[in-house]
Order: sequence, then C-alpha cells, then structure tokens
Amino acid sequence: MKNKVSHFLLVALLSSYAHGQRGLTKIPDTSIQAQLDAFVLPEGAKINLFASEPVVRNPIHMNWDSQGRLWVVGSPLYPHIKPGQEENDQVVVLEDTDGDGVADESVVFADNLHIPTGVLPGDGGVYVANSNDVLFLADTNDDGKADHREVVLSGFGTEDTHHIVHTFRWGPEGMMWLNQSIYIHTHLDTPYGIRRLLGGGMWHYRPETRRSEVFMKGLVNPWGHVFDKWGQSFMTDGAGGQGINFVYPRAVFVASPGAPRRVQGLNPGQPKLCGLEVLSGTHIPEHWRGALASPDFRGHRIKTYRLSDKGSAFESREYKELLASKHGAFRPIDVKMGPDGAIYVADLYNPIIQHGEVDFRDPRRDHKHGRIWRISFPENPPAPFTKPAEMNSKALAEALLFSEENIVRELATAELRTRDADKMLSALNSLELKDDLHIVRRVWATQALNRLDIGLAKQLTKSKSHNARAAGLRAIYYDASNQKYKNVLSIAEEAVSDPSPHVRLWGVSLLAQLNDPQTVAIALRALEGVEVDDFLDFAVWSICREHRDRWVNEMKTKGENPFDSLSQLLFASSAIGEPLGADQILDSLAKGKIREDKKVWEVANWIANKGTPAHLQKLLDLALQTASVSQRHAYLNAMLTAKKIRKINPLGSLEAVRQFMQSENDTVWSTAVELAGLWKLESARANLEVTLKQTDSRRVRKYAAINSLIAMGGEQTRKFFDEQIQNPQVSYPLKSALIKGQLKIQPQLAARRAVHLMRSIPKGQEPNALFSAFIANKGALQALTKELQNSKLPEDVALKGMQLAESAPTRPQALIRALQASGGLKPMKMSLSRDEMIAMIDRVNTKGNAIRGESVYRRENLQCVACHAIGEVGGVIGPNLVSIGASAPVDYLIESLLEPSKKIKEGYHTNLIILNNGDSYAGGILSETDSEVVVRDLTGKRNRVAKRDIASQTISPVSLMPVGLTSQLREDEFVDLVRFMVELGKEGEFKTSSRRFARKWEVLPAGSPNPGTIHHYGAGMFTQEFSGYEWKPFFAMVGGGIPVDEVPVALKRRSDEYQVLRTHVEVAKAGKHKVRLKGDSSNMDLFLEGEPIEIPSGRRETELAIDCKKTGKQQLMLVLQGPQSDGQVALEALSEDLNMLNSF
Amino acid sequence: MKIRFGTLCALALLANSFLTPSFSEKDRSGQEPLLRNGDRVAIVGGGLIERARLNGYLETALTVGAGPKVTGLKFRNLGWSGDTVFNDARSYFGKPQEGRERLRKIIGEWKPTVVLLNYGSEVALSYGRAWTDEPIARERCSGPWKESLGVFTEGFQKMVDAIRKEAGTELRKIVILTPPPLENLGVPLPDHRETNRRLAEVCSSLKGLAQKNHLEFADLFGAMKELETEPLTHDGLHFTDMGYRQLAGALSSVLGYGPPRNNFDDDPSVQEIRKAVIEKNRLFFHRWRPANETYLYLFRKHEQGNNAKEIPQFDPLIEQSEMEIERARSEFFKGSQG
Repeated sequence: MKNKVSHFLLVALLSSYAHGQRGLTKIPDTSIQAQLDAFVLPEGAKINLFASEPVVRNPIHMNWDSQGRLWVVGSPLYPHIKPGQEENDQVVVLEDTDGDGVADESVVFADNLHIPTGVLPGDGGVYVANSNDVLFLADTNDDGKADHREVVLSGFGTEDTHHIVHTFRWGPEGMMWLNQSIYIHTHLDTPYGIRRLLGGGMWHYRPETRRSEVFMKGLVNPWGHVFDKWGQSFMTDGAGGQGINFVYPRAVFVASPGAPRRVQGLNPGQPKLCGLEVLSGTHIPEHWRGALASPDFRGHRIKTYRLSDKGSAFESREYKELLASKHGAFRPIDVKMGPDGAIYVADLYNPIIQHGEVDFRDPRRDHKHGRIWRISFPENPPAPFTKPAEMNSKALAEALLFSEENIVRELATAELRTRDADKMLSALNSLELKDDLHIVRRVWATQALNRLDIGLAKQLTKSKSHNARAAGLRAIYYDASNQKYKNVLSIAEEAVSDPSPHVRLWGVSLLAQLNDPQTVAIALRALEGVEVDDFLDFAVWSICREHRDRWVNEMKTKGENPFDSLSQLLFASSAIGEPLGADQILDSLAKGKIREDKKVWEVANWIANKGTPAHLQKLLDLALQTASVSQRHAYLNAMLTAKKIRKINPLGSLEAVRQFMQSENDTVWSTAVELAGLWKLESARANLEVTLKQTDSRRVRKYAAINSLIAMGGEQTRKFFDEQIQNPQVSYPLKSALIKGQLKIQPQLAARRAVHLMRSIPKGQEPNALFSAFIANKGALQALTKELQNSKLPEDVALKGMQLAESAPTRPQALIRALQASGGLKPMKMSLSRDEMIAMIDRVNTKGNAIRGESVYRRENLQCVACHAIGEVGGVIGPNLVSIGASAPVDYLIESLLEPSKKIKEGYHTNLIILNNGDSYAGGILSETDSEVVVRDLTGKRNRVAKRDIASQTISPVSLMPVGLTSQLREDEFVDLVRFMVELGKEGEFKTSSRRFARKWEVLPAGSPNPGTIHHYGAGMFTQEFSGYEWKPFFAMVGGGIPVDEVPVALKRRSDEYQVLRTHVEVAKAGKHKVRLKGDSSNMDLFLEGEPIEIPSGRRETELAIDCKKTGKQQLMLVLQGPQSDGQVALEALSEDLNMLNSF
Repeated sequence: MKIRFGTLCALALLANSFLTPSFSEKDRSGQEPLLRNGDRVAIVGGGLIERARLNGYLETALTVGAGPKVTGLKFRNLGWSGDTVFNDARSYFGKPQEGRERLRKIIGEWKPTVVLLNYGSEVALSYGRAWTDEPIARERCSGPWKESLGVFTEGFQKMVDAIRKEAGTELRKIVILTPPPLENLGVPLPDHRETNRRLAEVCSSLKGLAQKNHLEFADLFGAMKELETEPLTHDGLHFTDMGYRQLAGALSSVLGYGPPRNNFDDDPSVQEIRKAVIEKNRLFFHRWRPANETYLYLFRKHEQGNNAKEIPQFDPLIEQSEMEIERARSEFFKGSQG
C-alpha cells in the first residue's frame, strides 16, 4: 500500500514533464547581445558573431574547405526524429567574402539529413555523417547544392544519438579520421572483409582504397581529435574526465567493452571536453601557440592545455582559459582555427544538453538557435591566406611543406588529394628540405596522394629528432599489414631499441602490423634499457596477446623459452594469462634469481590466475622458504585467489599452512587462516576459537577467524557461533561480525539473533553493517524479512535499515515493507510535487548560499566527498561534479539528491552480480576475463568474483548513491547544498580554476600519538616517519583553500594547538621553485622533505622560493599553530617545473 | 579521389541494355510463380541488402515483376550492414546470439510468407580473420578456408531453422540468393580474383544447402557474372545506383520473372512506385531500428523509456506508404495495359 504512495508521487512528477516545465527554470535570454555581454575573454582578445540562426541551427561540427569556406552541420532533429517528421537537418556553407570576420554568404548545401554529426569537405564534395551511414555529397552542376549522394560507409550503430559517428578530420597523411562513442556497435562491410568496433574508438579511412581500420578503442564520448606538428594523435572525451588523451595504435581506453586492461588519459580530474584544436599561426599571441584548446561545454568555457614529451608519451598541463561565459545556453562543442588565423567556436546553443537524463521532448530543449563565434586579436594583423584551391602546383607544394599556419597545411592537404599526383610529386620534389619537419611533411604529402615515398619514410626513421623517427614509423605503419613494403621488420627491430621510449612505442606498433614469427620476441626488447611507462608496457602487452599463436606455438614445439630471458617469458605469459614457462620461472624464484617484491607479486598473481595445482604447491613451498613478509603474503594471497576464483588447491599436503598461524604479521596470519578455512583444515579450529575468545586479540584477526570458521562450516562452527552471539560478555561489534558469518550458514537463526541485537544497540554503535550484510545475501534477506514480520525495531534503527534497503541494487521491496511495519515508519518521501519543486527552486535561487552549501557538502556524514570528485580531488565512485551546476538544470539536481536512481549518468550504472550462494555484488565492472569479473563497489573496494560462481549478472536500475543521505539536513541546509551545486562550474568562485593549488592533502587525526614531545622537537616532529601517524585524506575546497576549522587538531598541549597537513609535489627540474602560501605566516611552518623553509613573519600571503635539490615526488608539510584570520590557508605552485600531485 | 561522374552518365545511356539480358530462367522453369497475392516478403542479408533500402530498385523490380494480378505485396528490408549468418551485426551490447534474437523477433512478429536470404561475400572477403564473434565459431572461422566455409554453412543452417520456427505455418518459401561476384576495379582497389574463387565455393555450398533443405536457390552470382559491363560497384563490393538497377534486373530474372517489362527509369509510374518504396523503407527503418535504443528499450529505459511510446506511431505511416505503393503499382499496370 505504502509503496503505491511513492509510486503515485513519481507518476505525478513524470506527468508534469509532459505538461512542460517552463515555469521551473529560467530560459536564458536568447539574444545575441545577451551572449556577447556574458563572455569573459583573455587579454587582447575580441569575440564577434560569425554566423547564427536561422542560417545555422544547433551546430554540431564544422570544417573549412580549400576555398576558405566553413562547412557546418547542425541538428534541430536531435535527439530523436518524431513520427511524421522529415529528415531535414542541414549542411550549410558559410563564407566571409570581404574579410571582416563575419559570414556574408551562406548556402544550404543539403537539407535532407538525419542527425548529421560530422562534416568534412574534400575530394570534390563533402563527407557527412548521417547516423548509420557516412555519405559523400557533391554538387555536379555548380549550383552550390548537392545533387549527388552516395553512401561511402554504412553499419555505424545509432544506439544513442550523441554517440553516433562523428569528429571527422583529414589526417596529415590524407586519410579521413572518424570517431564513435561508448554505446555504438559498428559493423562495416568493407572490400577487405568485415570490420567491427564495439564501443567507443577511432577509425581511419582512405577513400582511394576504401579501406577502413580501427586505430584505437575506448573513451566514453570522444568528440575531439587533433594531430600535433609531428602527427601524433590526441583526443578528448565529452563524458570522461581525463583531459587530453594520447592515443596510438591498438591502445584501449576507458569504457571499451570487455577490455582486460586500459590506458589512462593525461589529465585525470578534468571536466568533460568536446572538440579539440591546436592553437596555431601568426595571428594569435605567441604564448597561445601550440596550446590545445578544448571546450568544456558544461562549464560554458574553453580550456587549454600544454604538452611536453614524457617517456613514451606526453605530459599535458592545464594552461589558461581561452574563453568563458556566464550565459547558460552557451555550449561550445567544436573549435577550429580559421584561415584568417582567428579561432572559431561552434555553439550548439542549448540550455539543455544531451538526452540521457533529460527527456527527449523536454520543452526547454532548443531546436532553433545556433551560433558560430570568432575570437580574434585586433592588435595583430590577420594571418596571410591564399586559397589552396587557387594555388598552382608549386605554391601548393610550398604551402604543404613550409607554411607555419596549421590551417593552411591542412586545407592544402585536402586540396592536394584532388590534384594530378605526378605533377604534385614533381613539385614537391623540386623543393629543398631544410629540416626534419620538412621531410616529415613531404612524406605526408606523398601519402596523401596515396603514393607514399617509402624511401624517404625509411630515411626519417634514422633522423636525429626522435619525433621525426616516430613520424617515419607512423607513416610506414598504415600499410605495413598489406606487406606492401620491404625490410620493414628491420626498421621496427631497430626502433624497439631506440634511446627514445616514444620511438620504441611506434616500433612496437609497427611490429604489430607485421606477419613475421619473431614479432613478439623483438617487441619484448622494447622493455629493456629504458624506463618503461604504462603506454609502452601496454603496447608490448598488447602484441604479446595479438600475436599469441606465433610464439606460443614455437614454445610448444620446441619446448623451450622462445625469448632472450626468463623475465621476457614472464611478461609475455602473464600478458596472455597462460602459465607458459611457469616451471622455469618458479625455479628461478626458488633459486633467488627473482628478488624484487613487485616481480614476486606479479609471478604469484599470474600463478594464482593461471597455474596448475602443482604450481600452487610450489608457491606453498616458497612461502615456507622465504624470509620476506611481503613475499610470503604474495604466495599465500595467490593460493587464496586460486581457491576463491578457480577453486583449486595445491597438490600436496595443506597442513603446512598452519605454520603461518604463528606469524606476528597480521596480514600473513589472516591470509593463512582464511586459507585454512577454505581448505577445511580442522586442525586449525582450536586456534581460531581461542583467537575469538581472547578479548585482546586484534580486530583484524578476529574477523579473519570468523571467515575461516564459516568457510570450515560444520556443526562445531554453528554451535560455537551461537554460543558467542548469545554470550553477554562478547562486545556488540564482535557479535555483529559473528552474525554476519552466521547468516551464511543459518540465515533464519542469524536473523533472529540480529533483530534481538538491534533492539538494544549500545550508544555509539550502528546497525548499518549488519543490515548491509543481510541485504547483500538473497537467503539472508528473505530470513530477515520474515523475522521482522513478528518483531518490532526501534524507529531509528528501522529507518537506517530502510535507507540502506532503498538504495540496494536488488530493490528489496518486501524488506522495506517489513521495516516500515516493524519500526512504525511512514514511507520515505522522496519526490516533490510540481508545486513543491517550483517553491524549492525559488528558495534555492533566492535564499541559497553557496558558501554555506560547500561546507554542508564537505560534511563527513553526508559522504559526498567520499564518492564524488570536484575536479582533481575527491572520490571516484560517482560522477565528477566539477561543472554539474553549469550543465544540469536545478530541478535535475534536486531530484538527483532526493531520488538518486531516477537519472543515472552514463558509465555510472550499477552492475548487479548475484552468486550461486546468494551473495550479491554491486558496482562498476573494472575488468573482465574468461574466469573472473572485478567489481568496484560503493566503498571503492575491488571485489574479484569467479565467473563460475555467478548466477546472474544484470544492470541494476538503482543508483549506487544511497537514498536519504540528505534527510538528515534542515531545509535551509538542503537549499544551501543545492545552491552550491548550482554554482559548480559556472563562471565565478565555484569554478575550478587552472591555478595550481595543492588540492589533495593528508591530515593527522585529532589527538594523534607522537614519537616524542613537541617542546623538544618543535613542529618538525610531525615530519618524522612514525607508525602511530594515521594520515587521513583531506581535500581543499573548490577555490583551492583549506578551511582551517575542518582540519583536526592533531596535538593540543596546554594552549597550543597543532594542525598538521601534508601534500606532495612533482619536481620536473631541480632548483629553486616559486610557491605562494596564503595564510597568517606567523602562525605556520612549512617543510620540504622534512627540512624547514624560512617564512617571513607577519604576512597574509607569501611568495616563497623553495630549493628542490632533486627531481621527482617530494613532500610538503604545513603545520598550523594558532588562528588564521581568513579562516583559510592555501598553497599554490607558481613555477612551471613544479606540479602539485593532486591525483595518483 | 576520382568520382566517376562521367562514367555514371555513360552508364545511364546503357540503362536499356540491362532490360534485355539473357538470364536463364532454368532455376524456376516449370514451377508456379514465387509471389502470390498479399505475400509478405522479408529480405535478410548484410550491407548489400541494407543499402538497397535507400534506392528501392530490388523491391520495385519484384513489385512490378510479379505482374498485374499479384496485389498487396509487402516487403521488409531486414538487411544489416556487416551481418553474418550468426547475425553478429544485429546484436548491440550482447553476443551474436542477441542479434539472432532480434532477427527471430521480427520474423516472429511479422510472419513473412517468403524470405529471401543473402549472405556469403563477407565470408569470402574475411578469409584468414575472424568474421563472427559467435563463441562456438570464432576460433574456427579464422582458420583454413574449408573450416571457415564449414562454419558458414552450419550457421546458415541454424539461421534457416530459426526462421522456419519463428515464421510458422504461413511461411511458404525460403529463397537463398547467392551473393553477386565482386568486381575488379584495379589498383588501388583490392584484387578480388581470389575472393571470387572462394565466393564460387560459397555458392556451391549454398546450392547444397538449398537442396538439403528444399529451399529455392536463386543464383545471383551466376547471373551477374554473365554481365560484363562497366563498373557496377564503388569498390568491388558496394553497388552504385546503376549497379543496383542491374542487380534488380538480375534478381527479377533469377526469381523467374524475367527482366522488368518496362524501362525502370523512363516510366514515371515506375518512378512513383520506387519513390514510395524508398519512403516506406525510411519509415520502417525508424520503426524497426530506431536510434537511441539504449534509452528506448535497453538498459537505460528507466530514464527515457517513456519516449518509446512514439515508435509504434510509425506504423500507420508505414501503412499509408504501402497504400501509396499499391496505388502506384495499379496505376502502372493500368497505364501499361491501356
């Protein structure tokens, strides 16, 4: 009955959508002037309107042609065609004929398209993304309109219309590049066979050969792709949060379905970015040149980043903002350099973005407007531009090789493809090349004509510049799989031992294209003699898998290691996840040839996943032999994994494991005990019972003993547990833990004991863990439901149970009803009526205070910070809220706080796995192999689940965010909290700035123990390594400051109070580096790697030069002593070569 | 990149030639006509069929070819680019099995009386690489050619069984249409001579399959091979507009109807039929394969699933356009007889 009440509320709210919600939020002023007034520009820049509606409506993507005209596609049809509606989206061509920076001519080239998301002029016409298909449209009678329409590629999925094929770009090598996103499943019939791409990724396509290939996979919604000046590819992600992603062949990124391993982006914690362009050319001020610009469409701004070489890949650092706006419908989604050297921005113009969380037919969605903006620098002359279409062969060749304007070279490349190849080749050959970059460009030009100068490309691989060597390898890469060129293997072979890891990465990528039986053996050499980062490691790992048959078959026929060393064999075998060569490798472990902890863990994990019982036996022997605690743990843990995931035991006697029950080390002891339980070693039982009975046993040991006894099972366990649970001497937490064990073997009895226990919970204790345990197991859940039907619970206890049950992915309705009855609770009010919603929005707008709201947000009991990040810092369980205010309407925010399950952000759906024994796991799937699934749960814990134990795996319609978190707030606090969220990412104080504050800190808890006395050591005492210090994470506020009253007082001695914070920096170059310290300098001390830094006293803000003697990660500690007049302190890096380490 | 506009124009002049090809009708000689009043014809295949929806030639040829007495024919183009006999391409977030289910569902709902099946070129082209992700077949299909071909025939058999089961008693005929040969257009496009040799083997396997299962066998491969004309494809595989016209003629012939009785493109009433067919196909596509399925029917339907109510609203529009096809068809026959 009560269930129906909330159901009714829900229906009422949904129907209010259908009736329109115009009254609910302010629709921004649609005038051009309103937008112009709202822009915030960098120094010297000016913005003007290039084009707008009715010519351009909801523009999505744009590209220039070789006559200097801008081609734009837009979609008023988005997000979904209505029955009876025409397919009438357009391609328009805009031209500024008089050079005043405003389009004065426009032509509708085509008006019969269905959500066109990509446009690329070239080859005498234009390529257009048209949902399932890529079309080629051409005007054959010169009337400016398309009269030829041909499907070039078909088979792109359309499962979500903001993911469909998009982001067209000509590569410098003359291929067309195109992207797709997470929900899209593409199956192309090509004259080379079927090509598939499931999930996000990037394709390249050569029109002459009609060959399409997948370049990389993954990323959630990658709408940005550029090539840097050496032709390396970078992408952005409109639904991911890792800023700039360096991509290379076969790399796999976040959200690629079924991927066992993924590569990370370069800037974790950045907002979602749509579109990407390299700022370049002579018109813009020099400091912008080379920066990567990408729109943060949620935050109504364009961010920029600077790249530098790092290892096999790059480092990307946030640079200044190029543009920001206070206008709520400004949605920059594409940015391109123009022929005049100005920067052009496509503004989708919409107060509402996307359609996953906001109804397809929401009346606030804009279908009429659209703007193209132009950012110029009036003090500088426009860049020189000659239309490549009007250049003769020589001029075109010169433009291709020597122009310093990226846009000119790009357009010249497209133009080149329409010219006579022989003439162009001779023009190109007639020009003298002065440096490596010119050679690279000539190679590209020949390739753009589909006549690659292979000799010159090979020559490039021997250049002095590592960038040029990599570019040479990439040029050869594309057609290497066709066996078109000779002696490519030796080039790749040389490249994998190159001094530059970046060149090695391309060497390995090239090898992956070749047919030779030795490819893997050669690729493995890339791991030796340089520092190997994850990008290079991934590339080698990937080829070991892709070319598995080549080396595995060789190994099986010859019976010996096909590689130069055992460590190479270990790498390759772990990569494919097979125990090949395990005997040799275990032998070398036994002989002490492999010593490093990391390697030992790697071997142990690999044996755990793939080894035989005989291999496991060797691990048990090794665990007995080794003197290292860490290595012993590695071996025991491996046996535990093998038992849990693969249900296999070591071959011989298992009793030996009892020896570890003498261990002083809790981890070793607990792991051994858990093994003893799973192996059912009755001989261990007595010891376990003693551990549980002794009051002074450590908690971790007690919990391990409980698990072990439960695994062992039997009448003895049942009896012992119930005795302990009923024993009045046993503490509440232990009883609770015992019941959590009991519910797996005697659910009904456990339910009775639990209800009894929860009726009188001691002060300061919570029933949450107990409830969660029952909810997480199907049988136990039913038992508790049944038990509650006859018994009462205190109201507060029942309420906590309700909150947990409401947000459980299994939606246990029967339990919710039982809890309501048992605690005498009213149904939880989770939704607002339409009028209530209007009133609430009004209060948020008029009374809400974002500053107070931030402190509500930061409260520990609300757990916001634990699950959500804002920018770089915070939890990773829920979506990053960095620009939520700028992207989501207020009603959506309120609704999401009250009813977390109603709208769930893509990528945050809960996977629900139920095991055969009734246990359930909910969370995000981190990785998946043939034998197991790794699930990250609400607490961030990684749970490995054996596939053979899984009874069902579904996507739950319930959010991971607990229901009722905000129920503990007063209304004014709730209003402040919403206001804070509303402001997040909007222009103003609550936008994460590009200033480099230390945002991720650790603090010492209140009343921490100390290694000595403070009057003896001074504040330097806190810099000591001391096991009593339990550092806890602590995050700065959105503005970068640390609220002093939230920092615990680590030490109080008479009237002196010490608050201790530490953070880490990455030093790129040794030497003096500038930082800015905000706060009353007389009341604080700063330490670098334990050394005090002199701070002039009496300042409110101090710029300091800190002397960093070495490079790499270093610690900065801040000790506060006494009050701070601002209530805040902050630490900011000013030097380029000093980076705050805010994410690990 | 050279677009063959010139060639296209030249081809247009040759258009008449395809109206009088010398197709043999031996496959269906002496048999009763394939299509009857009110037949529901499902065309199932890969990209060749999927793209045919955009120009309507194949359906138009059969609509006219069936003659003045056969009325109320309905066609559903169930082609899906990149598809295989395991229906890989029809699955979204799942394994190929999900694709098979999608095919079964539409067959079960629409209950065709005639099903045309066109698969095989994808297998010949993908020699040496896995062409299906179906767990039981994945390993084998990337192996030796004979093995790959075996996997194909097994998959085809299973697909036929599934279709028969879903379609029920009203299903009268299943016709295997062999894939047309691939064209060799010269460098830089791929050389398809080897692929065509394999394709011929695919066709003879299909013939065996047809005999074993008492299916109709319509040899497009043979029919199109006899035509040695200007290029009919963009890349050896994908047919141009002109190519589809040729293909339509060949289809009409191998199904026993001979070439179309009138010039497709010169006759405005045939144009009318084709226009209506294209519009019907467009509407049916939005009905059957709508965009945004993730939200409409799949795991995010609890968020935006209410929008799915619009999708069946395409049904009356499809019906209307089918009436338009019927009207244009009777107009055509009225004209040609009068």
